Amino acid sequence: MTPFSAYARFLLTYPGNMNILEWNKLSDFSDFNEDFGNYQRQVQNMVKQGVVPDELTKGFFEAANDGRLVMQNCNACSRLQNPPAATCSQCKSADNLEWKEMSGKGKIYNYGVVYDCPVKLLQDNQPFNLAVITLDEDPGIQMYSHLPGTPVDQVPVGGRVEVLFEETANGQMVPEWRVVG
Amino acid sequence: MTTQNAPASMYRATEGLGVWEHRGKVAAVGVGHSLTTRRWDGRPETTVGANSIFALRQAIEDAGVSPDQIDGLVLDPVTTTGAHWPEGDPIPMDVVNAYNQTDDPLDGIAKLSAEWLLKNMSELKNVKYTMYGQGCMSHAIVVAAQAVGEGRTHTCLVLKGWHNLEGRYNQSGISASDTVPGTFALSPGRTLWGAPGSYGTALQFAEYCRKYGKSHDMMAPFMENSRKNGLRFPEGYWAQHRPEELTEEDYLAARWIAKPASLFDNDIPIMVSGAYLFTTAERAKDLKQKPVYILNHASSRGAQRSILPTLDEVEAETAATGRKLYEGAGITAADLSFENMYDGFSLFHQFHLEGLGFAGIKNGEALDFYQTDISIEGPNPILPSGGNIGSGRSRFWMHTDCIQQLQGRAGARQITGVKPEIGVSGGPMPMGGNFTVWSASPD
Repeated sequence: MTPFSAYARFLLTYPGNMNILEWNKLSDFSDFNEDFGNYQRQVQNMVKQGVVPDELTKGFFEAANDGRLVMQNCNACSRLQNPPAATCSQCKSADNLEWKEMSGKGKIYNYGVVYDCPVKLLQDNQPFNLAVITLDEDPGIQMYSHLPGTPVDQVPVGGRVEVLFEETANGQMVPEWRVVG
Repeated sequence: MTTQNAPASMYRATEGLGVWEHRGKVAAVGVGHSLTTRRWDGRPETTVGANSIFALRQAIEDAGVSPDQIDGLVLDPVTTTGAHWPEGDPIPMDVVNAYNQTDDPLDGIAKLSAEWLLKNMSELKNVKYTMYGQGCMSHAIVVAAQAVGEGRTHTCLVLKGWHNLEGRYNQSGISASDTVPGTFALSPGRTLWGAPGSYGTALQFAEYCRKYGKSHDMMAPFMENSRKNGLRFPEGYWAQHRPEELTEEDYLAARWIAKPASLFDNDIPIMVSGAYLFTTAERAKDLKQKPVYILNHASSRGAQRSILPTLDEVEAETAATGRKLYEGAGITAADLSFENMYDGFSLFHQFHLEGLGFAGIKNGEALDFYQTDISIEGPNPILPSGGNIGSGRSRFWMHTDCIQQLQGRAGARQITGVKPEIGVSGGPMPMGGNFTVWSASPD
């Protein structure tokens, strides 16, 4: 049941002459409370740790601040790679790597639900979705996503996603993904 | 003496190398373990250094050799279970001063060098060869086997020690920081998105279940069997501290860590040290214990294309590991009496099994196989050691068990359903690890 259908049931049966919190306690709306809690956790912005770009990742994070998703590409091999590295994972050369702009479209490859997160800043948001996205430009290239707006454990594997950009704790923007269509 | 990391040439990481040139010429003859604890209690006599000295002395005694005959020492100097000495915390000098020191005061407490051990084990007068097999015991074993085979050392100790400190697993350090470096943020491991340690394996398992139509609850017989075998391992954590069976109900009711990985799918981090004594097959004949011969060692060095290995990548790598092991040992899957591949996380053990083709199982069949008799009394013993799910995370119970099963001294764990003749152990990960084929006979 979606949180909205549970909420509709809650409102339709509310007698109106009782304190709404008392009614909530007396009535069996545990599914609503749980679903709505999960829903709230997902729609609220999960503020990730701040990011301090370094030499290797500067291009990636600068583009994110401009609202662009870029990936490392080896011009010699015509091959994308993520995570970024000092050399091409295929030809091992550092000379032909550049940042290439992506369309920001992809698919959900797989996901899990995190209940025991090691990162302190995210622990208040548990449980949360953690999905792996593959890019349309190259399905071998993966990125992580919390899938903001997608209820916990209701992730459509294979579903279409598009990129958005989210502010982290120190203001650095990072790519995230939302389900579309 | 400066100890180096073993060069890549000591690992058999590619296919097509043929039968191992030292097949059957290296033997394990002694085993030693410290007691297990969940965490360090701060006393000098319970450090990783102290535990390691205890385990090494036990292995020497078990083998029945004189300490002055030992000329080699191979170990993993990294001892962390995920716990690091908190930056800025005072170092307990009473502990440091209880031992002969190296330049690093945390040596013997939160790391372990060959130098520290030799400074604190004066009986090891003739060690001329030291080498690090960095990663876990599986690394140290293959390095030691190769070193003995090549004649670099004749009588060699092999060691892995672990320290575990206060605090929750992987939650200190950068996990508690407000900012992270860019490279870390995009790295495949713990990252900005807050992936727990078992997350990657959980996703591979989820993909496996979708592809082959399996489910998490099908793991229950494997988990019960592992804990049962672990409780028969007197050196293990659960046997020593929490001798509780794990029922199907317990397993299915456990809280999630990274769904579909639950609490019990993660091996519990502990403090323990384990040691073996290796020597040549020739010398092993005259020692106290029955020799267990190494038929081959092989290494996996899989590289995923992007952040997490896909199921296809994992299956390709474990199949390659199986082929390497059989090629170098000159055996086939049918020759394996039992298996002791790594299991901590439980949800990847099936990849190891299917890669080996153990008992004829193919990709997608392991969880059905778990519903058959996989006990030590049955025809296909799975993890008779109980693995790390059954005894805590040492990443060496599997090796100890292979040695003891083939020596016929595994006690209550002794396999009875089949005659133990050849076993395989190793790990840790399906995409990267080191593996050993052990045999009761050198031939």
